[in-house]
Amino acid sequence: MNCKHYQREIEHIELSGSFSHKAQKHIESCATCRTFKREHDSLRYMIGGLEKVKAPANFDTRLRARIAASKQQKSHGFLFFQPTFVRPALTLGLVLGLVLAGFLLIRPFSASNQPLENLADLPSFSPDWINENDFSRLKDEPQDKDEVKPVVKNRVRHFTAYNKSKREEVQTNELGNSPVRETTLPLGFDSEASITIPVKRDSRSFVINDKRVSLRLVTFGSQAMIEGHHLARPVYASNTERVW
Amino acid sequence: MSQPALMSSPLSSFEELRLGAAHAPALARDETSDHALLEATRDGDEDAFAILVGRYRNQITNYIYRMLNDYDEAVDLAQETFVRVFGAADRYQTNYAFSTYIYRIATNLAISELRKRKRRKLFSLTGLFQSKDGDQDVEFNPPDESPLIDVAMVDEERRVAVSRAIGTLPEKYRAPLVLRDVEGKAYEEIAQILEMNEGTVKSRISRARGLLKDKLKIYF
Repeated sequence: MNCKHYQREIEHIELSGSFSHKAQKHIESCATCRTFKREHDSLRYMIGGLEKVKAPANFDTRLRARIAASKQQKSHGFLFFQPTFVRPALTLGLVLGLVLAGFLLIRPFSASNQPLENLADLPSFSPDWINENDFSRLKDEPQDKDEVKPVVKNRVRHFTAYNKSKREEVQTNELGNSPVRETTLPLGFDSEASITIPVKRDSRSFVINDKRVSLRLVTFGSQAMIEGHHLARPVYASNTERVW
Repeated sequence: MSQPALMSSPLSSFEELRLGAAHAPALARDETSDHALLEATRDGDEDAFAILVGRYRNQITNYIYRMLNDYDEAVDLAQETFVRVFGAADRYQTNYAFSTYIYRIATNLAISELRKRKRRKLFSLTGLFQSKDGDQDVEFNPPDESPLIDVAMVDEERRVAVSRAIGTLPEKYRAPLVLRDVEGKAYEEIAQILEMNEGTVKSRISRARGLLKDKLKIYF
C-alpha cells in the first residue's frame, strides 16, 4: 500500500480512534508520512485551540422577544402583508415585470413606434423584385442541402446560402451564426441594392415608397460573442407589412 | 460591534439561573432528551424550549461565528436558528438527532449569509479586525498564570491567522471543516447535517485542510 492510503487514515481517523498496526509501523518508517502526520496534528491543534465563543448574556431575553414578535406577526395582520409573504410576492412581481419587459423588447417592433429612415436611393418598390420563395428562405435556417454548401475552412463553416438571386458567402460558426458588427442584407432587387444595418437586438424600419419595411437582426443561439461581436443573422420581422 | 464572549464555564447563564433557583423539576429535566423537550415545546411548554436553547445556544453561536467570522452576525443567526426551530416544532420529525437538525438549520442560515455577502461583494471587516481591546465586557478573564507575553502574543497571532484562514475557505469546504475540527462532529453526523455522503464530506475536509496548510505554512 502506498503513502496516500496511510495519509487518508491519518486524516480521517475518528477522534477517539487509533491507527491500525500496519499504519503505525508505516508512519514510523516513512519520513513523508511522519511529516504529513506532524503537519496534520499541528493543524488540528491550531484549529482546536481556537477559543470557543459563547452567546451573550442577554441571548435568552432577546430570543424570547424575537419569538414573541414572530408569534404576534403570525396571529395578526393580513397574511399577504407578513414579511414571509411580502418578499416572495415582490419577487414574483419583479420577475413577471422583467419577463413582460423582455417580451416587449424582443418582440418585433411595431411600425408606429420605430424611428423611420427614408432611403431615397433605393429603387422603387416592385412586387417582382424578389420571388416569394426566396424571401421565405431568409426567414429560416437554410435547409435545402442543394442551396447550402458548407465548406469548412480553418474550423469556420462558410455557407453560400440564403438567397438564390443574391448569393452571399457568410462566415459562420458551427451553429450557423455570423460574427459580424454589421451586416449587409441583400434585398433581392435586380440591382445591387442592399441595406447595411448594425447587428443589434433591435429592428430598424425603413420607408420605401410609402411602404414600411422592418428589418430585424436578432442575436440567437448561446448569445456567445466571438471577438467581441454579437452572433447574429438577419431575419424579417414577422408582423411587419410585407412589401414583397 | 461587540466582542465575542468567551467560554468561561461549561454552565450557561440559563443553567446557572436554574441551578441557582434550586429547581428540582428543572434538574430532572436536564436529563430529558432533546426529542422529548421539543415535543414538550410543541405542546406549548416554553420552559422545555428554554432548556433546549440552553443546551445549544453556545455551540450554535460558536459554530456560526467560525463560519462567518463575525460575532454579532453569529449571535443574530443563532437566534434566527432557534426561532426557526421553535416555529417548525410542529413539523419536526425524529428521523435524525436534534443536534443534526439544529446544525442543519444553522448551516443553511450561515451559508445563505455567506452567499448574500458574496452577492453584495461585502466582506466583514469586523471579523478581521475584531480585537479584545474593545469596551465590551469579556467574561473570560484569565488570571496571572498566563504565559510570557511574547508567547501569548504569538499564540494570539496564530489564533487570529487560523481564524482568518478558515474565513477565507470556500463555503463548501468551510462548513465540513468547522463541523469536524471545531465542533468535533463525527463524519456520519456531518454527512447528515450537510446532506451529502460521507465520502464527499471526507474529501472536502481533506481539501479544506490542504488549503489551510498552505495558508498557515509559517506556523508549522
